[in-house]
Amino acid sequence: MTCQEFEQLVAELSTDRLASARTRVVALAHTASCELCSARLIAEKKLNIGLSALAENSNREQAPIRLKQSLRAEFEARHATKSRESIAPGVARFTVQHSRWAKVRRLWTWELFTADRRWQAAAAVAIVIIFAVAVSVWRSRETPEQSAFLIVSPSPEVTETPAPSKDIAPRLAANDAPRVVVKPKQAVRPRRQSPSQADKNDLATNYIPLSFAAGSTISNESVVVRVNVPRTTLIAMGLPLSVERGNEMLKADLRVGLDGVPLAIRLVRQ
Amino acid sequence: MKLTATPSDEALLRQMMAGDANAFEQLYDRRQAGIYQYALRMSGSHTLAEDVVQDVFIEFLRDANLFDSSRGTVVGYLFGMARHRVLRRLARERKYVSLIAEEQKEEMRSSGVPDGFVAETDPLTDIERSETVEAVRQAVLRLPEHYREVVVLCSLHEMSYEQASEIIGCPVGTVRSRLSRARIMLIEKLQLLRLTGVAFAQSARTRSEV
Ligand SMILES: [Zn+2]
Repeated sequence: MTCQEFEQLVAELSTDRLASARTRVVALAHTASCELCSARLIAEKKLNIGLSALAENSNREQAPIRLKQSLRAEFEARHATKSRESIAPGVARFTVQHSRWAKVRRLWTWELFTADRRWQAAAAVAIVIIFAVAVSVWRSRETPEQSAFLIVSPSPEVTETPAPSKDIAPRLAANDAPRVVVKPKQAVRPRRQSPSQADKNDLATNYIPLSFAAGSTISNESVVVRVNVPRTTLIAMGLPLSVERGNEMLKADLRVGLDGVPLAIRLVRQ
Repeated sequence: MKLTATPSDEALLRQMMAGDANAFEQLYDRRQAGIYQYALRMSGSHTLAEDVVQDVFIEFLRDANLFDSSRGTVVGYLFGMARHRVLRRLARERKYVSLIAEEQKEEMRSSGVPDGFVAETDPLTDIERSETVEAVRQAVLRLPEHYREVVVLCSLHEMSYEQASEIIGCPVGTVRSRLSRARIMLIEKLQLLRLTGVAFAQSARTRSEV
């Protein structure tokens, strides 16, 4: 065996990965007559000791337990969404939205996230809110009687809630969603009607808590955004609406927490 | 006594896809530490390792149906995802990492890394062991990534060349040659090769011939 041949197999010789017992004998015989290759084999064995010590030093490292808990919750949420999707195949689009919201929540609630990811999430949430506000303002120009942007507080006080619209009345009447006091904010621009007048003309259901907001901390203040939502999306959110005219757009008030998580929704009929 | 067979990763995956959260948990328990350690050994960062485990399993939840058993094992699939993420993060943080590495190199120069750190037969004291571990860790972290990953997979995770080639996505021969080259680099960085006068002369002669 030459030194070059030895060089090719010394790593495997030192780690007992050599396939052939005969090659091993020949290689060891070479070290007996070659000081350079003998020194190299010793160096390789020292390296093995160092690598073993390093492996042993870190072989008890593992991910923190909270990660497992969060992943299990994520698994359960995803599976629940999948089951719902199999019941109503037309709601795949919402499933994607749902999982995105779940991810945003995860971004905010898990301590393990690095600061730059939090900033990315914050930027994304800010963009969504700005977009929603812009849409609301734009729509209020089109139909000034709409109450576009209200600050609500989830206080225990109870107000009279207007009667729900016909097709959703049975389910929503039984719903325990918290009632909220609506405090009209100053109008964004001159209106033909005051917000309170607009509210009086609106028929709204109770707020229905959104399942993916469960567990999120409800802040003292939240923002209500008036949105147009496809019927299919509302069905996917758990509202008992007919799947007919799935593409029909319905008006709704979306209550969004200051952390950007949508907390509850109610249907509005003007 | 009734013996219960441990379900394979693939069996757990099937149960998991049918909605069994316990199967997912079992698979996670079985594989998370390996992935965490792989990411930690590649990066030296616990934060990055945690992020990688989280991202790998989130993606696994989402795209478990993309796993194709004819193309490899579940563990290979998970490590492949982890590798992709680790390399992406390292590329993003390369500038930062290289600055750290320079600092560490300077520290090692000033603190005197154990020179030829262990005699083959000497038992290691705790101090020697911790010095050794730190010196080897730094040496591994300073290897170029494609050499570092074969050392991490084959030497630290004790994977076969075949397993490593599945994860890296390269031929077995490439793994073997990279590992051999990586080990030479580590031996040089750690100054493990002690040559006597004769061997030194022989080494110089061999080098001049090549
Ligand atoms: Zn030789």
